[in-house]
This record gives sequence, structure tokens and C-alpha cells, in this order.
Amino acid sequence: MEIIKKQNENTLELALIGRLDTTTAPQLEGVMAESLDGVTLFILDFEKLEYISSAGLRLLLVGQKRMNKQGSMVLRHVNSDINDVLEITGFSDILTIE
Amino acid sequence: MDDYINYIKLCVAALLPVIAAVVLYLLDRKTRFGSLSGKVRQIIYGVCFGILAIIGTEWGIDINDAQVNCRDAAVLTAGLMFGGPAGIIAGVIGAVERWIAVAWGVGTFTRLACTISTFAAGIYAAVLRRFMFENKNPGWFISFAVGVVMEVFHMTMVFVTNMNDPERAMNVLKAAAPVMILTNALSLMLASVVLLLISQSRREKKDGTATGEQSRITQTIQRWLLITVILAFLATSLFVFRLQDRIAVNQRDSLLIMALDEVEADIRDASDENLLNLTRLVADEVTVDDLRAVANRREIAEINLINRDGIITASTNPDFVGYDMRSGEQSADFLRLLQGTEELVQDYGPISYDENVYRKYAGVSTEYGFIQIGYDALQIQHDIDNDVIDITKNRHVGQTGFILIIDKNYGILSAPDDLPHDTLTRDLIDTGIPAEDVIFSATLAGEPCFLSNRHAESYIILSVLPEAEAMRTRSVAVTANTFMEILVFAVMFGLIYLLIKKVVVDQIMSVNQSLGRITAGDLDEVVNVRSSAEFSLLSDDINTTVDTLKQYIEEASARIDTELGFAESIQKSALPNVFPAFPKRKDFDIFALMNPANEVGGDFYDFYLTGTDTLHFLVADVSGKGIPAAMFMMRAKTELKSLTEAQLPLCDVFTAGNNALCEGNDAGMFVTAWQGSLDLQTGLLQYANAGHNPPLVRHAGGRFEYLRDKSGIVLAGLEDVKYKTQELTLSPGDVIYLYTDGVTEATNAQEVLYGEQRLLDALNSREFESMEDVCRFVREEVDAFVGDAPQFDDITMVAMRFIGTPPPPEIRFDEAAIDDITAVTEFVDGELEKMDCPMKTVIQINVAIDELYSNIVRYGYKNRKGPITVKVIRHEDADTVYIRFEDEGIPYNPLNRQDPDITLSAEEREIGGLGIFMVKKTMDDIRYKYENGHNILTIAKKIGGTKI
Repeated sequence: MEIIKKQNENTLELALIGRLDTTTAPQLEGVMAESLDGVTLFILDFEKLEYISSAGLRLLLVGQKRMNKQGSMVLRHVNSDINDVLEITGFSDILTIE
Repeated sequence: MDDYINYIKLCVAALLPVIAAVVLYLLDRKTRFGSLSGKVRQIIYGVCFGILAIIGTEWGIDINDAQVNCRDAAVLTAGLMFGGPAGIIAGVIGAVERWIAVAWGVGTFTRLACTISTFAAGIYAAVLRRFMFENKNPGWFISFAVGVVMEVFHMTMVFVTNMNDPERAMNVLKAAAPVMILTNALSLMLASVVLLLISQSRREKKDGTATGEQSRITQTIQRWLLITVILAFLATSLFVFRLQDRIAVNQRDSLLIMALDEVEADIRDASDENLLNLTRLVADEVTVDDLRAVANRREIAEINLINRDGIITASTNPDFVGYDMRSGEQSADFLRLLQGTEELVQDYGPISYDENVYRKYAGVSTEYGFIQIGYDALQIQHDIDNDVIDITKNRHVGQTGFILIIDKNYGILSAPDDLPHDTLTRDLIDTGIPAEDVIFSATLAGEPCFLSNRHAESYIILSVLPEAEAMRTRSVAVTANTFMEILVFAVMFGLIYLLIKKVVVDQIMSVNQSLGRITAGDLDEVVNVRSSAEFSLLSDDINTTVDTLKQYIEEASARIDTELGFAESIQKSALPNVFPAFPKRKDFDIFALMNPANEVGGDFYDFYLTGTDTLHFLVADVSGKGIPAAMFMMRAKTELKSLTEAQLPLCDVFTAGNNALCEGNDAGMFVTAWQGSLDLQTGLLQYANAGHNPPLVRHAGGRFEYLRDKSGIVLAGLEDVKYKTQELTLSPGDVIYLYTDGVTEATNAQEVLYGEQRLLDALNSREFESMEDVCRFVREEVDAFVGDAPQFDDITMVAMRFIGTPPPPEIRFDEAAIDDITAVTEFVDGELEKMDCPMKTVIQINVAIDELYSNIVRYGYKNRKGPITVKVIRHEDADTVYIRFEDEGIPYNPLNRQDPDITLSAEEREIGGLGIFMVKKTMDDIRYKYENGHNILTIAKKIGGTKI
């Protein structure tokens, strides 16, 4: 998975390209751990994300929980497949999807 | 003594034809004689019976230059029992011999009659046999009648050929007719009875039972016609007899009385003449004084002289003098002599003076009055006895009758010379003499006679007519009439019989023949008997009936055909009948074939998959055929399939199926069945047999062999029977062939069964391209064997080849790690790509792999490293792909994990269990099992499925 990171003051935008799964989740987890401090708007661009596994969902939950404290998290360009996953797992209710 | 010997000879001659008949019959039936041609046999029969006819002639009894014999019996037996030609030959032989036999002393009188009759007998028998008895033995009664008629003809011929001497002919008949009629008729009857008995006992031996044959219409007609004819004959004969008898009696009476009249007149004339002559003499010579002297001299009882006043003036009896002639009727008669009559004579009778005195008077007139003289009986007799004898001695009454003159003491005065007087007197005293002119019978000198008497001039005249003559005309007439009637009635009988037979019986037989053909199934047969309006009507009626029937049958059969057609298509469609049945499956090949003997059958086969890995196939045979079997078959098929699909073990399928089929099986039907369940993954074949024929199995590279195992009892036979599941492992390439007994029990025209050996040989005779090839080849072999013989039983077969599946592609890591997921995903993606799997599905599967693989690595092998194998399995015909994960970690069923609550807020939510939850949601199926230390988790996903 490739992560394109754009940071602008308090806004962190991560564009995920490829698969967010058990093997790639630690990658995202690392980026989030080092970059989220002070961020008030966390944007995840899923335009190029192929799929997401439960490991990915876990990071979304972790991210959402953290951003609930310091700002907000937004998912952008969620394709229908991933949206389906978010729907069935109930994540669409707790995430902000633009 | 000679008489006895003669009669014994006659009897033997009568028995000979019977014996000959038996001997010839047995020769005919039991020896090679019977195989000679008909003509030769007829000649032999004819000659044999001809010889017997000669013996009949030679052993006859001579009576009155005629002959009592039973020549005709031999001829009749030949003709009636052995055939017309034989009869004619025997007749000719007998006739010719009879003609010549005169040379050595056989009667001349009946020569012509006998010759003609014997010849006629042959023809007569031949005609009867041919036209009346249809070449069959007519039975004892008719045979007897035939014999009687023949002999009557014979007797009549004696008459006819001797018309100029009917009396002699009559005598001959009297002597010969009863004996001849009886012996010949009895002989013929006996032959008929004996032959019937022999043929019947032979038939019984053959059939084992005596057939109580119903009497045929011709026989009934024969019987009743015969009775009618006999009654008519008796009635007319009795009438003729009575008539002739009356005529004969009248003739006899008038003959007797006429003779009396004549003789009486003659005697009286003689007596009158005598007395008048005497009176004239006395009148000339007598004087008043010598009355007494003249009377004494001339032996005159009384002389009276009467004056013109009618007073007796002088008399030989002084008492009479002064007697007035007017005072008595008898004496007054003489007064006519005073009135011009010259002479007068009176009949012998009582006198007026004294009624007790009988005298005969005569008187002659004289110048003083008249003279009267009286004669008494003795004086009359003395004078005219000789005259009377002259008058009567040679007088005939009829031809053989005669006159007797007797006195009051039965003394014979005149009689034929050949009759001794004392015998006659005695006979007459015995009989007594009744009043005058009464006809009475007496036996005179041994001969029965009819008599009548008259008193004349103190004589008694008896006219005598022998009975034989008196009744001769009657006898002749009655005999001739009887014979003629027998012949006429016999001819009538024959003609009426033939007429009825031709007009009715033959037509009935013709109708019957047609009906027979109709009954035999030829509904196109037309009855066409048009000899009379009635038969025409009958023919038309039958034809109409048959036509209507034909129409009904056609309609009914059309309806049944339609219904059977429906039933057939329902039954066919109930069985898998589209081949190839599983076009996508490459792991087995199956083909089935069913040919019911009728439209629908009791055989069935079935095959279907449960899941993707188990192929069930079966063949079964319901007892019986046709609709009932078909209905039971549908029940059995449904029952077995539903039980099988309920995933029951095979033995329980049969056990439960048996119980279900036993229930309400009032018709007592049953099913034999063989069912196999093949695990297409492993090749393990489980099978159960309920009384069915052993299937044939060929292991790859080997030969077909019968799979003989202990079978269970038939289904629906007995409740609560347990069936056993047996096992056999098939390797790829193995073939199993199932069939019903319609194959092994197919029968050819010679009633030979096709049999298990032929089936085995056929299957081993060549290699087969496909299972269809197997079935079609066996079917052809069976057809070729059976030939034109009809198919009796349903023929059903199922052939299945286990091909098996190549092992599914897999990837294995001996020490599984999270990092392997990429490689696993790539491997699986590669396989999915081959299946044209849509991207979305690939992604879903990838997610699943990620979740499950990581789960195993993290939890299954928590504290150690272990192997994980991932297999991609896909069945040919299925659009589902299976991904199987196998590991040797701790037993862990992820499906047991509770689903996460997805309604909680982000703060409250736990991340655990989400992965499995996602897999459950996206995959079509997920199964877990722990086997042999392996966790086996399989997910299934329809390719192109639209889930999520």
C-alpha cells in the first residue's frame, strides 16, 4: 500500500493507494501515530483504496476515537465496495463520509 | 337239433361284422395299417366285409325256399362305420355271390330281391354316411334304425320281385322278416356301440377326462325327427290295420252267410221237390180206405184228405178228422189249394194242431178238395240225405273254406273228405253251436276257423272259413303297408333331416365360423349368410354389432392410448432424462436408459447430486408392470429421493423408505432397488441393495465383474427391516453398470434367457467411449439376442464412470506468518482470474483471506509456528468457489465467536470479531470442522454473486 501524505497546518490528508489489510495496516498505523499530533482535521482519501480488511477498520476506529478528542475525521471518495463494508460493519454510522 | 346249429350259425354270422369292425378299427389306429392311403384301406375294408357278407349268405337258414341271413349287416357296417367305398365294394361282393349262390342251393325265390338289396345296402350306407352322418358313427339308436329300414327294404323287394305270387311272398316274409330285421339291425347296432366305446376309452386315455359333449343340433333333430316319424308310422299303421281288419271281418262274415244262404236254399229245394213228388204219387193212388196202408208203405207220417170246406174228412191220424184247416196259421196256409193253387209245400216246422210236433207238409188239389201229406225229419233225411251230400260235399267257402252238414246230435252228414268225422264232431261239441247266423270261432281238426250255422229242413248247415284265409288280405295289406310306410318315412326322415341341415345347420355353422374368427380377434370378418331372410337378418345384425363394437373398441383404445401417452410422458419426465445430465461436471459420466415393455413401466432409475460432492444413483424394479407398477414406482422414487436429500445415511434411507412404502401397500407390491452414493472427492462408494440384481463393476484397466454382496430384502416387502450400507472405493476410470432383470431375463423365441453370463461377456467384449455407449451397446446386444420375440419386461440400465477430480490447487506454508498473506492472496487471485471472477468478488475473497489467515497465524499458532494450507476448490458445473484453510493449530472454531454490536458508538466499540463478521457477511457460506488434528475452514463464494 502506498500512502500519500499531505499536511497543511492542522489538516492531515492521507491518500491510500492499494489495499488496507493485515499486512499494510501497520504502515498506516505508523503514519497516523507520527502525524496526528495537533491535527484537527484528519482526511482519509479512499479514492485509490482497493479494499479494507478488519485490520484497516480497526485503524479507522482508532483514528475516529482520537479525532473525536482533537478535531474531526473525514473519509473521502469512498467507493461503493468499501462503503458496503462500512455499512455492514456499522462503521458508516460512526464515521464521517463525504 | 339241426335247427339249433343253424340258429347258432346265424348268430355267429351276425356277430362277425362286429368283431371285424373292432379288429379293423384297432389295426387302423395302432398299427402301420393306418398309414396306408385311404383308397387302399377302403378296398381292404370292402373286401373284408364282402367276405363276411358271403359268410352271412352261406350261414343263413333256408325257410320256404327263402333264406334268413345277415348278409346286409356286414355291408352296412362297412359302409356306415368304415366309409362309403368300403360299403359299396362289400355290397357288390355280397350281391354277386348271392346271385350265383343259387347254383349251390341257396333260395331261388328271393334271389333277385336279395341281390338287389345287398347291392343297395352298400350304396344306402355310403349315402347315409356321406350326407347324413358326416362320416361319423351315428350312434346305436340310429344304427339300429338304419338296419331296420334296410331290412324292410329287403322284404319289400321280396314282394316287389314276386308280384305274381304274393301269397308265397307273404309266407316267406312271415317266416323271415322278424328274424332278419332283428338280427341285421342288432348286428349293426352292436358294431356302432362297440366302436363308440373303443373310441371313447381311447379319447379318455388321451385327454385324461371324459368330455361331456353337448348334443349337436343335428343329433337333436335326428332324435326328435325319428321319434315323430315312428309315432306317425305307428298311428298310420294302427289305422290301416283297423281298417283292413274291419274289411276282412266284413268280407268273412258275408262269405260265411252267403254260403249258408245258398246251401239252405239248395237243401230246401231238394226237400220240397221230394215231398211234392211224393204227394202227387199219393194223390193218384190213395183212397179213403187205404190211407193207412199207403202211409205205411210209403213211410209217410201223415195223410189227410180235406174237403172243399177245409175240413179234414179222412186222416191217418183219427184225431185230425173233422179238424178245420182254418183254425191254425200253418194249416190255414193250405186253404190256398181250394182257391186255384195246384200244389203247395211247406217248410219243415211245428204244426198248428200241436206246436210240439215238427212236420213238413205238401198238398195237391183234387176234385174233392185237396190231399195233404206230412213228413217228419227222419223221413225227409231218409229221402234227401244223398242229395244234401251231393250239394255240399265239394262246395267251397272262399278258397279253402267248406260246408259241414250235421244233425242235431252233431253227427256229421257231410264234410270234406280229408277231415275225420269224429274229430269234427268232438271239436263242434267242444265249441257248441250258437244261434243261427252268428259268426263264431272254433278250431276244427287243428285249424282255427270262423263258422256260422243255419238250420234247414232238420239239418244244421255250418259254413267254415279258416282264419288264415279270412285274415289273409288284411295281413298282406297291413304288411305291405307297414313296409312301404317304413320306407317312405325313412326317406322322409332323411330328406327332412338333410333339408334342415342344409337350410339351418349348415348356415349356423357358417355363421359360427365367422363368429369364431371374430372372437379370435378378426373384427374385419363379415358374416355373409344369405340363404334366407332370417339368416340375412342375423348376418346383418352380427355385422352391425361387430361394427359398433369395433368402433367402441377403437374409441376406448384411443382414449387409453392418450392417457397412457400422458402417463408415459409424466413417468419419463419424472426421471432425469436429459443427457449429458451434468454438462459441466467432468468428474463423472453417467447415462441411463429405460424401455418399458408397455407404455409405462415399473422400472426406474434416478441420479442426482447432494451438495457438490456426492452423486446418488439408483436403479429399481417394481413388481408387476403397467399402470399399477408405474404408480408405485413414482411413490418409491419420491420416497427414496426425499430421504436421500435429507442427508440420511444410505442404510437409513432404505430402512425408512421401506417402512414408508410398506404403509398402505394394500396391493402387496414391492420394489427391488440398488442405490449408490459416491463421494466424488474420495471415490468412496456407499451402496445398499434391496433384493436387486447385482451390478457390474469394472475397475480401471480390469474387466467387468458382478458385485455380489449380501442383499437386503426387497422394499415394501416387510416392515422394520434393517438395511446395511456397504462400501467400495472407486478409482478414477472405474465403471459401474446397473440394470434390471428386464436385461438378464430378456427371452428369445426359443424361450432362452439372455442371462448374466451373456451380459458379462457383452460388457467385456469391447471398450466404451462413454456411458451412453455402454448402455446403447448392451441394449443392441439384448435386442439382437431376443430377435422377433416380444419384450415382456421393462429394460432399464444405468452406467456410471467415476473420473474423479484432480487435487485442487493449493499453497502451503510450513511456518505460517502474517507476511504470507500477500503470497496467498496472489495465489488465490491467480486461480480466481482463471475463473473470470469479477473484481469485486476477488476483493471480497482477498479480505476474507486476510481475515482468516491472520486469525490462524495470530490465534491458532499463538505460541508457535505451524503449517497453513490454502486450497482453491471449484467444481466444474458450479459457479461457487471454495477456499479451504487447513492448519494444525489449536482447535478453534471462529464461527462460535459472537458477532460484534455494530450499533455502538465509536468510543464503545471493540475491534475484535469484526474480521469473522465481515467474512460471514460477504461470503455465501462458511464452514468449520476439526478433523484429524486439523482445523478445516472453508468459505464458499459464488462467482459473480451479487451478495454485498
